[in-house]
Amino acid sequence: MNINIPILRNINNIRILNYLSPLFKSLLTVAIISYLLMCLVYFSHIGPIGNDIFQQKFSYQELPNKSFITVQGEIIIHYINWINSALHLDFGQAYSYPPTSVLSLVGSKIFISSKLIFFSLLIALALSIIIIILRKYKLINEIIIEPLLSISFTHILVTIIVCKIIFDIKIGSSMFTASLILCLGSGFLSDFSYLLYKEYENIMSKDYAIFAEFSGFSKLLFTLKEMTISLISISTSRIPILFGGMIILEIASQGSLEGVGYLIWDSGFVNQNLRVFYSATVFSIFITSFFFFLADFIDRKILLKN
Amino acid sequence: MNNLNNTLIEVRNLYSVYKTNTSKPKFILNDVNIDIPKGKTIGIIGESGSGKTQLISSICGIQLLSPGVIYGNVRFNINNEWVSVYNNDKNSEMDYYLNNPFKANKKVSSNIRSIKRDLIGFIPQDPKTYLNPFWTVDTLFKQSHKLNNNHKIPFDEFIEKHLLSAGIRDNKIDDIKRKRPNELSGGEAQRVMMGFVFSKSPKIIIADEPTTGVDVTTQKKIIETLTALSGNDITIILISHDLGFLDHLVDEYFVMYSGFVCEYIKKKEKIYNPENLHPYTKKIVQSLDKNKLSKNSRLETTPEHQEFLQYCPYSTKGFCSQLGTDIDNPKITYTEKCRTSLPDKKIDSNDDINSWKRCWYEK
Amino acid sequence: MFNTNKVPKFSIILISIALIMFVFISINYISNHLFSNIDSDERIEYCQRIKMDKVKFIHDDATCNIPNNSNVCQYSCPGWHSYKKYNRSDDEMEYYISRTDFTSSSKNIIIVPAHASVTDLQNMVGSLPISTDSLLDCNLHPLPPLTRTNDNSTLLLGTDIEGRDIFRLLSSSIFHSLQFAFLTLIAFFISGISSGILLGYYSNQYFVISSIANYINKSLESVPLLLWILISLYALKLFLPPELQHDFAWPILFIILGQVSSPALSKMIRLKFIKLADDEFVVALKMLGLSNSKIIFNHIIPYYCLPIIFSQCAYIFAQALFLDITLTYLNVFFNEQSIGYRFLEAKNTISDYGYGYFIITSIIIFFIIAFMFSLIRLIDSYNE
Repeated sequence: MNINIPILRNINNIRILNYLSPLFKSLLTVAIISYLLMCLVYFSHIGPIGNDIFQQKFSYQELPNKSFITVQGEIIIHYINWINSALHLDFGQAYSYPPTSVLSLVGSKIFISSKLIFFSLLIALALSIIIIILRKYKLINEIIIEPLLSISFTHILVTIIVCKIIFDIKIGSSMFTASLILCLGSGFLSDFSYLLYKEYENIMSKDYAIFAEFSGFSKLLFTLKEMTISLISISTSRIPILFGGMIILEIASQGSLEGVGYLIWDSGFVNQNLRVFYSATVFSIFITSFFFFLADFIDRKILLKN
Repeated sequence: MNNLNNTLIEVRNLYSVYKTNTSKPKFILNDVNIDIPKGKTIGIIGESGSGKTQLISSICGIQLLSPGVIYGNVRFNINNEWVSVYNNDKNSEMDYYLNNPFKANKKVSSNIRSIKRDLIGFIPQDPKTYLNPFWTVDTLFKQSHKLNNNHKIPFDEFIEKHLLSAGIRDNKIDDIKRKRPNELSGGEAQRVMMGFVFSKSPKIIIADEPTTGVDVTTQKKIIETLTALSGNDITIILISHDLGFLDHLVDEYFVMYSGFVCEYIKKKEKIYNPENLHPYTKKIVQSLDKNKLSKNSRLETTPEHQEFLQYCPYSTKGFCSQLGTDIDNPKITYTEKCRTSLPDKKIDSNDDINSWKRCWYEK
Repeated sequence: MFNTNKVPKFSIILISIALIMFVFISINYISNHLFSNIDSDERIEYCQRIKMDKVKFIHDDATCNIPNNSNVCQYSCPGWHSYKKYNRSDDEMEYYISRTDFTSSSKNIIIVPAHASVTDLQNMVGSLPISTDSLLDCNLHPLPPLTRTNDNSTLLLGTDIEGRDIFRLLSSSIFHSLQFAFLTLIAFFISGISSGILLGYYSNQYFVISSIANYINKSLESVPLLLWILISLYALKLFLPPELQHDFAWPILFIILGQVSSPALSKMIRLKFIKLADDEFVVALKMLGLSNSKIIFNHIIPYYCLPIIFSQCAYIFAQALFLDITLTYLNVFFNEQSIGYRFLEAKNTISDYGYGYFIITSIIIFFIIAFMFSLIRLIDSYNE
């Protein structure tokens, strides 16, 4: 039987689509949540809404009651306009003085937050490897490691306040300190090291690792590929957790760590700026959902397949 | 005890213990004292859970169950020199090592790895799970290609030679080279595994139930390959619960029950005359001929041990209570003697080639 | 039953101490609410008489008509205003007199010299007599721990600057915070189990619905929890009328927290159901004619899913509690009933009224955290 070449081409294309599925899923998630947020922005208006949904107008006139379908229609129009400008990377002006575009503002804040997340990941990885090695010593495990992994933000909050007030110790806002606090306080280190440790034990006790040991080969060499893929999968799946902790840290730092979390908090609740709040939230959701679906893809397609 | 020239592996006072969730230790191997001779085909028989795989992995320095510790003296005779794998026999340290298995495992000699790499070939029970799922067949063979003098042969020639000798057809080799283990059938995987193992040119081959779960043609191929290898100064250790399979190949037997090596049969013809054998070996042999099984016999579970063995594990079975009183001391029944003291090795005086069994009973 | 070897010893000590405290708080809470009408916010009346020989007179801008004796002055000018302050460290009462418009008072004020007896006081003649009753001071808050009050009850942790019993205040705050955590737990439990059963047991039967539900779960999980909380807070501020915001916004937020966290439980239960769906015993149960609900709720969940449910519920309970403490401290939302708000209050009053309240609140919070973590570890140890 002859196989038609166009069908083969389609099959190949579907495989490419398969690899792009994390991106499509995250875009769909962003689309749904951003639409819901657009509804929130619409209903936050007290006065009539002009062409720009993010600009607050005040009016003492009573607004006419609109039906649900009319309201949804208006929201959809605003939403499509926003998407249209977003595709041209035009998210509007954040502030008129000094003139700052939303894209550059949010981009710079995301860069700061990404650095924080990246350093936290590195610190967590280094600490996790040390923890995996030291766990074998029972005394160290009970006295140092377990309490260390039980630390939460609340612990750190109280400790910092005690240090500041009673002992007059100043805790700097350097990237390293912030990353360490984020890594310990958000429960990330505990979760990350536990997952890595379980995955390490799981891989090392697999039959092919035992076979490598029987045959006199290096177990690490045989299991390197699976361990690397697992590490990438675990790291990417934990990024949403780190992101959540990062928001608390940035709010708690009261402006000294100006990342995207602080920007969302400031523009949504303190100095209301709907445009910045909306764009920053949508960007954050896109980043975290992309990493989540990517980790899910790696788990399902690569690890399970093998 | 065998002299230096004949013994390949010497095992003394070997215990394998692991901690359970109830915090009481479980002894998988109890007081194993054996000498594995060179150049012979050895069979290790016993029912499931008797510790056969654990024995072999302990000899190779691998603790299968975690947290656990291997305890005893194990050494290999390499080029007429003893190379020690373990050398810890202080019983008082057992608890300490059980609580700090990391420290116990450090006691394993670093020599064992080079011994395993250069001399030992291990054929496991289920090859599909024992092959690296992330590596294709040619990536796997690249590891053995780097060993010994194999790198002098071009890689393609090397891999083809060994896959052919393992029974894979010439026209399928290119296809199989690119496949991962989950893409191979059971028979193909077993042949690839055998090809890989033999490509290391091992001097000791350990096969753990190699014919379980494979088709008859592959079984036949395995038997043929092992038969061809035996007698070429290669020591083959076969683990099985199937006496019928072992009988074709094996020169000598070790019989295991509940982590305890209860008999060593040097001449395999003794198997056909079970009257003088250990009660457990007798039962295995008799189970081959179902007509000879008594009406009262029934399946019984293997006992577990949570302390050092102080009695014969087989003595708890009904058979030994019918043996009567001890020849040396008529006031004690065999039941009492076997249940209160561990039997020593008793060499068969009628047999001048030194088979032994660990059993108090004498006719 | 519990393998206590798995749980570190310090956790056991902390659990024991936390349990004792929990019992204490429960007894106090129950006794207060069953046998007394006093609210946690009510000011404790505590009046103490100052000893006569501790009275000290300090004045400024006063004209003394008899300058020879500086201990006794007679002031005949109207428009004098006085107030008194009790200096706890010296156990002295200081009288300040300055010239301001004087409002009439029923009490006569006398400038009292030191070492004056009651008789001397009563015989004092001056234009600003002070009655001995005025030496009774009821504005002595904050009181130290273990103070006996005028009606012979003991204030275990003393009072804060507004005269509120700290022990009752903290216990009611802890209970309020626990209530919010329970709301989260209930929402988490219901949502997680129902979606887990749908995605695990019925995924083949209702393929489309379960695919959509699976996608919704993954989307919920992909967005960080804090972002959901901020968005929900924003929405609550928009849609809830201001008069209802104080009472309903925080509970609704915690219910949303439970909903948004439920995919974690749902995923684990789904995996269990998928693993067991083709198991022989499930097939056997179906062959016996058992309904799906009986198979799920009488067999699979009690025997296979309970450990997962327990440990996840403990974890979410702890997370809700910690989130409450952290967010109220950071002023993300004003909730004066939360234990985090107490901590903020304590921290803000350190410079004025000392470390007492702050230290007590910090210790309480640390114990809550330790108790929660130890509970999680115990449950995990039991599951193992």
